[in-house]
Amino acid sequence: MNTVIKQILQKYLIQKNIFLQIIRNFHIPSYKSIRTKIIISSILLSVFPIFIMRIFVYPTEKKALQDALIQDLEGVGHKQTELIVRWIEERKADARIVAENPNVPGVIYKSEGSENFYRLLHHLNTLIEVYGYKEIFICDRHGDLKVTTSTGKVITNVAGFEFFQKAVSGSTFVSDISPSVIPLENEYGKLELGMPTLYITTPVIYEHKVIGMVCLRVDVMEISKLMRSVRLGETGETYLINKNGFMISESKFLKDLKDFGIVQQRTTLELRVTDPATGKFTRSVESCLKGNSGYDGDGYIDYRGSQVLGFWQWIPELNWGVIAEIDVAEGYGPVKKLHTIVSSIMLIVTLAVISSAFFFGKKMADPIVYLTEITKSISEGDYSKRIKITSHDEIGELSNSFNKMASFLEEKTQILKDYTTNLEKTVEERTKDLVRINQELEIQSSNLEKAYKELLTLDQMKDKMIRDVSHELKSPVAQVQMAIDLWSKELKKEHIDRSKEEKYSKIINDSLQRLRKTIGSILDLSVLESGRMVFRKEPIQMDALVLQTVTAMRLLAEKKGLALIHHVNQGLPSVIGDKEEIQRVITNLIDNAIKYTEKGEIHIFLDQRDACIEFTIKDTGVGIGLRKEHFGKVFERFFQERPRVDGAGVGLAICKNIIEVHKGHLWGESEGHGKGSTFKFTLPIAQEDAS
Amino acid sequence: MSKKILIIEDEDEFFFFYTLMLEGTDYSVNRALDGKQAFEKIKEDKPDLIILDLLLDEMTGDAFLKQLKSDPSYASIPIIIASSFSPHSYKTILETDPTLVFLEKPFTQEKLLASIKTRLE
Repeated sequence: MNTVIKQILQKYLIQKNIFLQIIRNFHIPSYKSIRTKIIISSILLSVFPIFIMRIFVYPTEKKALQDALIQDLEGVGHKQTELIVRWIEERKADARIVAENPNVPGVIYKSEGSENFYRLLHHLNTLIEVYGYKEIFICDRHGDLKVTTSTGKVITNVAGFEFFQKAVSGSTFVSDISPSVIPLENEYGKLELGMPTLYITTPVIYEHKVIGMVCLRVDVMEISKLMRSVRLGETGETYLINKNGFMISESKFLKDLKDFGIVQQRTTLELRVTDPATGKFTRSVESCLKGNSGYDGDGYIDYRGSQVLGFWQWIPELNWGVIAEIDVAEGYGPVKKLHTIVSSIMLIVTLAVISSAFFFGKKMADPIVYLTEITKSISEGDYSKRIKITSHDEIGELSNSFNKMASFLEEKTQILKDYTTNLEKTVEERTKDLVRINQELEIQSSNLEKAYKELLTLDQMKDKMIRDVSHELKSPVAQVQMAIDLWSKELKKEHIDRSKEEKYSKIINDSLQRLRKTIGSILDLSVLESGRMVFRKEPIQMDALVLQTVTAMRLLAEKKGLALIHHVNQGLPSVIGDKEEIQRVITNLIDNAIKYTEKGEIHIFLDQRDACIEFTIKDTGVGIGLRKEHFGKVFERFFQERPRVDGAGVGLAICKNIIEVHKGHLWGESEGHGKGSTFKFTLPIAQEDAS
Repeated sequence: MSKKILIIEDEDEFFFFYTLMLEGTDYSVNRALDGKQAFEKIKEDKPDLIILDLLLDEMTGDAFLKQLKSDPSYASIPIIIASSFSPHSYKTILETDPTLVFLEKPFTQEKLLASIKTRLE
């Protein structure tokens, strides 16, 4: 069971998927598409007039036809009414003529067998032959039959009949069409009881008295003939009805009615005019029986069950109704036909228009759709696409222009692409250049910053140098001044403190010494720098000179607890120069080493290096706190890394000047602050020694 | 109670002159050779007045001033700046603190005592 359900479900799902796929794949044209627009507008334009025709023209036409039909029916109805009324009047006149025949009174009084009787009978038979009456008879005023044209069985006294009573009362009377009370010859030549019969009676007046009655029995078929005398198409007819709603003329469709068993012999008096479906009187009969005249152009069901259009008129003097009817199918046949033709034409035209709209719409839209697709391709960057439309209309022209534009675009794009590539390359190169320049600038900027900082440092150093040297000059002067002031004050005291004298004297002496030394150094340097200094040129044995100086300075070093160690290479070649000045340099360098070294050792080396004698002094002192490239600063005048130690800071400047005058070099080395320093100078070996 | 004066002076000669000039007064004098040593002394015993030579080895006078002024416990100690340079050289420092008094070397005993008196009052 489950398997079956599963299979059904699977089948359903597969079908559903297929259906969904179909729906997805089904292309519903967008209302925005030009093709759809063309198709829709073509259809609207073509179908619109047809719709207008169907909506307005057809109903108008139908109404006109309806009016014409009703008019026809009305005409026929009126005409038949007039005809039947006149025909009855003629029959009444016939009756009166008979009544006025001079033989009539004689016959009434003398009865059968007289000459008058035969003359009258002859006259009556002539009337029957000429006018087609069924019977003419004459009665006396008691209703006894005096003369009759009938040869068969007759009623001998009619005193009980309405037509007799009406006649003897003095008026011409037309009876209802009613069944005969005696067998009468029917339309088939046979005797039939209850044959529809119409009597017309009139009184016979002689000497101002009613002496009898003349009665004409009218052939009812004559009325039917009258009714049928007017042709009304295939299905149209006129017929009479009596006050009971029975037909009193013969229907055009008698045969059909007999075939269906609705009537046996005839319609007259047999057919009650009703709707066979409901059994009620038809619309025309119903209205007639109320004494009305009228018409129905929309249609109603007649006694056959057919849809008919009808006109009816009531004849009050006869108590009859005249009805003219025609089948709707026939009456509106032309309109129906027109409707069918119009609808068919409309359908054909619509189909043709839709087909041609699709065809032309597609034909017109296809190039545009194609153009759109190509345009899309080009807009997506495929400039190689071209439109292959060779028509000579606007589309063709557009295609040509478009192709030209595409070629132009392709060409320009290529140029642009090349240009972009070149531009990219150029930009890349320029960017590289810029990066390089930027890096260089950064380096330069960094260097500048460094230089600026150095300058700042140098500037500060310069300020410091000036301040130091000023201090070195001003401070001893201030001390001397203050010592003198205080001593002068002391001298003014009553009890002079002589112990202070020595102290003041020492201060004054030391200060003056300090000043002298400073001023002397500055003057020495000035002389050296001015180039006016005259140096002796004598051979100098550097080893001897160094040893001699070291020996002289050793005491000073030992005083400070420093070891002064020399590594002098003996027998070195001599140099040419001013021995005193060179010794001043060596002394100054050893003095500096002692001054700037708190503890440790001072090593002195003397060696030959190429064509020079190299002097080296290495200490374990404070070192040089400057960057290597600024070591030269220590040889500038007034430079004092550590102020107040001694002097004006011109010692090294003097040394450098002296060595350079001797064509040598003096320089300093240090690993940094607190790591000791090394000062070296070289002097060229004397020419004769070198050789 | 005698007022305590801390003299920051690296040259012995000048310190000798200070002691001589303040001899016989009610001030008790203490000495520091440089700024670094001065801070140690101040922490040990807070002085009522400081006489400062601006050209010092270990810590320069202006650096010492900045550090002293930044410490709320010592910022209020009155200071006399003593130097052999003209007050013009210390224009920037003097402008930052109008309470500073400048004493140019050489100075007389009267000048020194007047300066101390001004600052201590």
